[in-house]
Amino acid sequence: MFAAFFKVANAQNDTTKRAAADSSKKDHKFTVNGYIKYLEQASFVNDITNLQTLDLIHNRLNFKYQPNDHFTFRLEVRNRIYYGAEVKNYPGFASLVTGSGGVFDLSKNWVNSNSMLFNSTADRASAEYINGKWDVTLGRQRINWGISTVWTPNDIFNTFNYFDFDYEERPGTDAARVQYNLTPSSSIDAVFSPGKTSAQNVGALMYHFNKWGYDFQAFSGVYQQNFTAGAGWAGNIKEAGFKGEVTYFAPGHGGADGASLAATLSVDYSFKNGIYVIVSGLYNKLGKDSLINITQLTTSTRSAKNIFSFKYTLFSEIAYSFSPIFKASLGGMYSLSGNSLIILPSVTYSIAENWVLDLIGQSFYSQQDGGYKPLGNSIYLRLKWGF
Amino acid sequence: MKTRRYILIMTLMGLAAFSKAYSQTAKEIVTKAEDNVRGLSSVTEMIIQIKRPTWTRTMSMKGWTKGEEYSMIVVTAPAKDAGTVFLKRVKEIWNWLPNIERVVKLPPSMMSQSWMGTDLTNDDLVKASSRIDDYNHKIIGDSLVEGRKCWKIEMIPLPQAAVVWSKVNMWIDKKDYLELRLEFYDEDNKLVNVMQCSDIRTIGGRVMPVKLEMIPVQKKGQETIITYNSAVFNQPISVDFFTTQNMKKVK
Repeated sequence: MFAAFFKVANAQNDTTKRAAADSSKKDHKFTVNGYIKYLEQASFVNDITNLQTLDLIHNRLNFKYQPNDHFTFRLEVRNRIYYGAEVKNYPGFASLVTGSGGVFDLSKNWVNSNSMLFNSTADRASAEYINGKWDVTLGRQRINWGISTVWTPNDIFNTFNYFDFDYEERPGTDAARVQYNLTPSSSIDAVFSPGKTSAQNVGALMYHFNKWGYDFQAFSGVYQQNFTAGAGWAGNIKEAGFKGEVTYFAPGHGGADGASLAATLSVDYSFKNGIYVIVSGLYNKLGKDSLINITQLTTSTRSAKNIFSFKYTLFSEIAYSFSPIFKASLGGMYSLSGNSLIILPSVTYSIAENWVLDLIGQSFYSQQDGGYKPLGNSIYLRLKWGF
Repeated sequence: MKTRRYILIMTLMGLAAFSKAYSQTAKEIVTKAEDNVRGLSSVTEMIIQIKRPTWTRTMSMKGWTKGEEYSMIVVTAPAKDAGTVFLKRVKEIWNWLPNIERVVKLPPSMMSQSWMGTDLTNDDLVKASSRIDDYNHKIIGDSLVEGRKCWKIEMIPLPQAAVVWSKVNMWIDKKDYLELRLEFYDEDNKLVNVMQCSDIRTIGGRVMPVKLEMIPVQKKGQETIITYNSAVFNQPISVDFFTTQNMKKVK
C-alpha cells in the first residue's frame, strides 16, 4: 500500500551517499484543531409520518501544547447543543447524553431547558511525559486496550458504544498511566483509574508484545472490586485480518452480579476490487437478551463487565468506496439469543476538502409472534467541517 | 575474398557480441535504476493531488523509509485526516487513529488496494522489485524526456510472472539513471497508464524528478500528481524507529 509508494519516490534517486540538510521542521508548540458538526436525527417506529426529531450542533476543540520533546499537555472539549422533540420527550435526556463523568466534574450544562440542552464536557485533560522508554500520562485520557473494531472486551477503562457513531473520539477516563517499552516490540502498561468511591477503582497491568506477525496482549487487575484478567491478539490468517479478545471478571466479597466473561472474534478482508468485509461475533455472559430501550442502547456508555445487551451476537459489514470521496457500507447485527436484528447502512460523501456529509441509518427489529417487528428506526444526516 | 569473409564474420560476431552486450545493458540499466530503491533510507515531505473531471482533493504527508521493509507515513493535511499514521514492518501494517489514540492492525489484503484512492496501483508500487526479475528487458531506442537523453527499454513479463501488464516501456535517463517515464500496457496491448516524471531538481542533495504524474490514459480528466517538497536521503534511521510505539510520536 503506502510502502510501495516510496519505492516510486526512491526509484528516482541515485545510490551515492549524499545525505542532506534537515527537512523543514514545523514543530508548532501550541496547536488548536477540531470540527463543527450538524446532526439531524429523525426517528420513527412504524409510521414514518410520525417522526421524532433531534438536532445537534456539535463543536469540538482540541488544544495541544508541546513546550519540548518530553511534555505534551492536552485539553479537548466537546460543546453540544441539542434541540428538538426528543429533548422534551425523553425523560432524563440531559443525564443520558452528558454521561456520568469521572472523578472530576468536567461537564457543564449552560442551558438545560425543556426544549434545549447546551453542554460542554472536557473528555481529555492530561499531561504526558515521554522520555526514552518511559511514557507517563496523568489526567483525563483515552485508554484504549481494545483491539477489535466492534466490541472490545479488553477496554476495561473506557468502554465505548458502537452505536454512538457521532462520538468518534470516545470517552476518556481519569487515570494515571505509566507505559514502559521493554523492547521495540514489547511493553508494559500500568494504569490506575480512581472512581468516585474506592469501590469503583480500576487498576490493571498489561503486557504487550509482537511475535509471529501477531500483536499479543495480556492483563490482570482489579475492576470495581472484581478480579479481572484478559488477553487479546491481532494478526492474520493468510491475507485476512484475525483479531480476538477475552476478558474475565470475578467478584470479590460482596459482589452481587456474579462472574462475567466476554469474548469476541473477528475476521476482516479487503478484496482486490476494493470491497471490505468484516465478520465478528461476541459472547457476553451477562447479556440480558432483551432490547427494551433503544435510546439507552444507542447513547449510553456501558460498563466493561457487561459490554452489550445480548449474550450471543453476530456482526457483519460490507463497505465499498465508489470513489475516493464516496463510500458506502451496510452492517448488520444479529443476536442469536435475543432474537433481535439491527441494520446499519451508511453513505459518506466528501463534498469538499474538509467537508464531509454522512447519511446513516439504524433500524432495530425484534422477533415477536413469529415475525420481525420494528422497534425503532433512526435516520441521521450529518454535515461535518474539520479545521 | 578471404578478407571479405573475415570482415563479414567479424561483423556478425561483433553484432552478436554487441547485441548481447546491449541486452545485458538493458537489464543492468533497469537494475541500476531500481537498485536506487533498495537499502536506502529516506525522509520525504510530499503533496498528493487526486484529480477527477469534477473534483480535486489534496493531501500532504511526511514519510520515512528504510529499504523496502520499513516505512512510516503521517498525514499532515487536510485537517480532518491530519495525524493519521501508517506503519509497515515487513509484512505487517498498522494504522494510528489520532482522534481515538489507538493503533489498529490492518489485514494484509489491504496492501493490494489502490493507495488512498489514488491512481497508483499495487502493481506500480509494491511489486517494483519485480521490474528486474519478472521481465525480459530490451533497449529499443533512445529519446529525449524532460530534455534528457534516455534509453527506452521495453519490458516483457516472463510467462510465469504474476504481472498484470503485457508490456511496460520505461525511459531511463542516461546520466543519473532516473526513471522518467513509464507506459503500462494491458493484455490487449492497449496503453492503460502513463507515469510521467518531471521537474528534475536537486533535492536533499540528489538529482531527482520532484513531480510524478500517474495518468490513466483511458479515463479523461483523471490523474494523480505527487510533488516532493523536501527530501533527505541515506541518513541512518534505526529499525526501531518503525514501531507501533513510535506511531503516536512522529510528526
